[in-house]
Amino acid sequence: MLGNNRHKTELNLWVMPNAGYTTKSILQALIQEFEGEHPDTSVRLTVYPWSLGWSRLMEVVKGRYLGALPDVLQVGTTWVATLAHLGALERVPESNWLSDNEDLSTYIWDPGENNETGQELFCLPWFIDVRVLYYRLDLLDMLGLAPTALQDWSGFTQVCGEVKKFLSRSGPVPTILAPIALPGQKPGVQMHDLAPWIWAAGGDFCTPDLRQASLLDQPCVQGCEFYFDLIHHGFMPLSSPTLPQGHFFTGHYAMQFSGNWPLQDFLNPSSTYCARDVAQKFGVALLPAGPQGRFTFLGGSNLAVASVSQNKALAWELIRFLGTPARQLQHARLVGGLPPSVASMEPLFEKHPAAKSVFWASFAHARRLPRLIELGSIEQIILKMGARVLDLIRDRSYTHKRLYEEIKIANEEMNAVLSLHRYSGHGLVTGVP
Amino acid sequence: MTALRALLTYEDVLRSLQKQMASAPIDLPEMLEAGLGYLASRFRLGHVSFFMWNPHNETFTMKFALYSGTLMEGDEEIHVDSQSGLDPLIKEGRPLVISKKPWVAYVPLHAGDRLIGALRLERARSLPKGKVLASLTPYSNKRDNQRRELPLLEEIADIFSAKLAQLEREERNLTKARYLQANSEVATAIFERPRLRDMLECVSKSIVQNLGFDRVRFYLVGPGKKELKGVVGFQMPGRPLDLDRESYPFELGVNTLVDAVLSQPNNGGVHVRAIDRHILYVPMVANRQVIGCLAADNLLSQQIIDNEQREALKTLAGVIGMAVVNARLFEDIEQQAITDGLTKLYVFRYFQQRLREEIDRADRYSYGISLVMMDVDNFKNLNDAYGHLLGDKVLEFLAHTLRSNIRRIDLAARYGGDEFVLVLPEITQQEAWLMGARLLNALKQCSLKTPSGEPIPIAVTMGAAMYPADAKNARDLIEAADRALYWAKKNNRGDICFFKKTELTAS
Repeated sequence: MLGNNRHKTELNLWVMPNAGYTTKSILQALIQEFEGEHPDTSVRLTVYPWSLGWSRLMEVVKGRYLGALPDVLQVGTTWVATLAHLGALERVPESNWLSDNEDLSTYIWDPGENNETGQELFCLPWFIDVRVLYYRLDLLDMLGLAPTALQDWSGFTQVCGEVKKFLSRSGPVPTILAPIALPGQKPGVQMHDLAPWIWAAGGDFCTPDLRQASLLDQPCVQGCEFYFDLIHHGFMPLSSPTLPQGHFFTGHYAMQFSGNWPLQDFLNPSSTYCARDVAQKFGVALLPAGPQGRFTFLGGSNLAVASVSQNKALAWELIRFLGTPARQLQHARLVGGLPPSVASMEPLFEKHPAAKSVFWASFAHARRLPRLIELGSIEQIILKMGARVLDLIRDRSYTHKRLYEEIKIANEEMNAVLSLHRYSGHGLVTGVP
Repeated sequence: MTALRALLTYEDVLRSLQKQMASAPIDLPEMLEAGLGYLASRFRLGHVSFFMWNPHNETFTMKFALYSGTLMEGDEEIHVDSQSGLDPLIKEGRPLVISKKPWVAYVPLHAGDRLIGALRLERARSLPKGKVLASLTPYSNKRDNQRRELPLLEEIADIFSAKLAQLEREERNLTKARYLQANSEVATAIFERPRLRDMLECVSKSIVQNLGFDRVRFYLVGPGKKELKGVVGFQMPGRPLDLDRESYPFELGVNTLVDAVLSQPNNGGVHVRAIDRHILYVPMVANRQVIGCLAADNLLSQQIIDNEQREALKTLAGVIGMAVVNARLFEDIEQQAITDGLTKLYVFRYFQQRLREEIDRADRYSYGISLVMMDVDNFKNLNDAYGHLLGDKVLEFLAHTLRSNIRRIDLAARYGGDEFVLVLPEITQQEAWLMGARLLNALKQCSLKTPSGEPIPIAVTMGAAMYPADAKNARDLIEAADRALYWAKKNNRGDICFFKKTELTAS
């Protein structure tokens, strides 16, 4: 009786919908296990949309958030440096934060790289995201195209054109509705959606000294044009009531740029979650090479302790619990992501050596976003620019000239944000990671 | 019987929904998660979506959709035209069942008479047979079903509309409370902190914390309207900003900040920088003169500055402008009271006060202070030979040399007549000696001449003592330095000597 009435410490865990609508049920299973090991603790799980995440965390930072404050946070790699700079995240305790037998060197990237100095740790990687291209082998076969056609920008655009033409004739693959599915779970056009194309064109978001925006440099503009043209030409259509935003593995799309490895459930041919036939008919390729090379984006999500937490030791316990290689793998399998360490990733590709080799090759072409304390803010600027450009596409007023005007606004906004460190007295950011 | 049972169940469900919504948090997503979650579970719905209505382009934009207990952001827009079938929702403001299989209904949400959004309720699959309780469309009798369905949806609309209105009200009240708090704190700062920098530091902190800006900075027009100079600021979450080093020529085209201040008379007092409403410049005016600018921004958070924040800042800027003028007057008077008219160095009284404060600080942070006393050698002879006007020039020159050769943290004061004193905090005896030697050397470069054109040699003798090594308090320290000076005058004129308890030694 006494046991039931015992006062429990409540830990607030804030995560994003990593597995869409099933996020809650997936995490609840892990949480129950944690609560079993910590009978005096109850974990309150909040799944909140990506679109709300940034402003919600800013409200927490400003002390204006009215709800229950978080103890443990899922933080995207783009947000870590900014949140750390604002004092929203706790430093990882020097000892005892990694699980037993865990070695930082086995991580795909050093978690310290998330913040601007690279010296201090503010989070533990939870899962990672490296962009590859999924495609339908059967469709390419029907069109008489080899996957090698997807190697570079021009070949890729040609394939998109062929697929679109083919789909308009209502071919023998009736479930496929469009050439490319929009990437990721986050709505809109994100910084990391544009990054590989900008890099492949030889551009970047900032100058090498990270002091100025370089969005107006020709290669950067070219990368943006390539990506938005895919949407404008209807190769990667925006969602609508008749064409919901989807996932390659639902079988409605011929291709998708994605950082996910399909759900474990999907790889089981009897799965009802995804289109059954896709399981035998998909291929994985590196992102097409641009004029200046082949690049892909490497990012992901981390777990951090909020500095407003009243139960920091327990919060680190929860992170430690969720961060064991076994649980990272378990979680990655369920949400369709990649665990952050090489060791945890191996079993995921056991039966898919071809896909594994593409993912491994992708790491060689992968880049991170610039290491800036203002990166979280810059991400918001790019997101807003993307939204404005999508509006132009919806209104059928998209042209390269109009796109350039939007890029120009974003460039000016970025420069305003980048000028912040001149005032704030925390020193200049130097060096490219 | 079935109809009655179902009717009662509906009432129960509505009551429970009302209860759920009443206890839901004051946060839109959490409120929707609780309310829509309850609807979904009781009515066995698949997706439940929340749309916001935009009357300008007559479009419903999906904000959130709930499925399996998880709320996610939506990415759907429905333009309401004759094709959409949603016309009655807008024109008659009543719920609408637009499809029976699968069952899909729209429920309009209102704030008063104004349409603010809609809920879309969707049932993906049909109900198992025999399930009647708490389900929409439960009856075999279709007419009965339709008759009851719409009132139920209207009740749901009312409950959600009421909660949304409550959220809007509470948010408005909270905002008002924060603005009042800001006003009150700013007023307190103005009354309690007469010094400019101190007052502006406190004001910027209050504005950031209560009005929700990322950063607030104060710039003031410099003397002669030649420059706009940074003063202080505050940055979330709790970082004061020292803007002393920021200074811009006060002319058009230098930067947007200066432009905003210079163009003030024509734009109604507030300048919102074009780049996406994240920067706000509010010129401060007092006595019809632009005296500076208050700059607020949300660059890091990228939150949009709304009209209320803008208006609140505009009101505060007026009050702060007057307070700046008053603080400057206070500082002018204070300056006159604490500075010597001839040499512009601090007077004896102020020196004593600052020495005590520096000793307190030295105790707190465990560092040493050096007190250097000095007087001009043969000053009486100089006055007698060339007159008091030239004597004054010598004192002015000496004061200027002192000011130019000490650090920002040091203090130089006129002790009386031709005697001067330096308070040098955070210094060792060796460093104090070096500074004294540098001063003696600088004085040798004197370019003053007698009326007949002969150079006037200025020599000064210095006596110094260290705290806490030589004294336990301010009085003892002055006495020790004075004794060192006396000894130097007697034994080592024109040089610097340090006090020692056993003996006095020349450097």
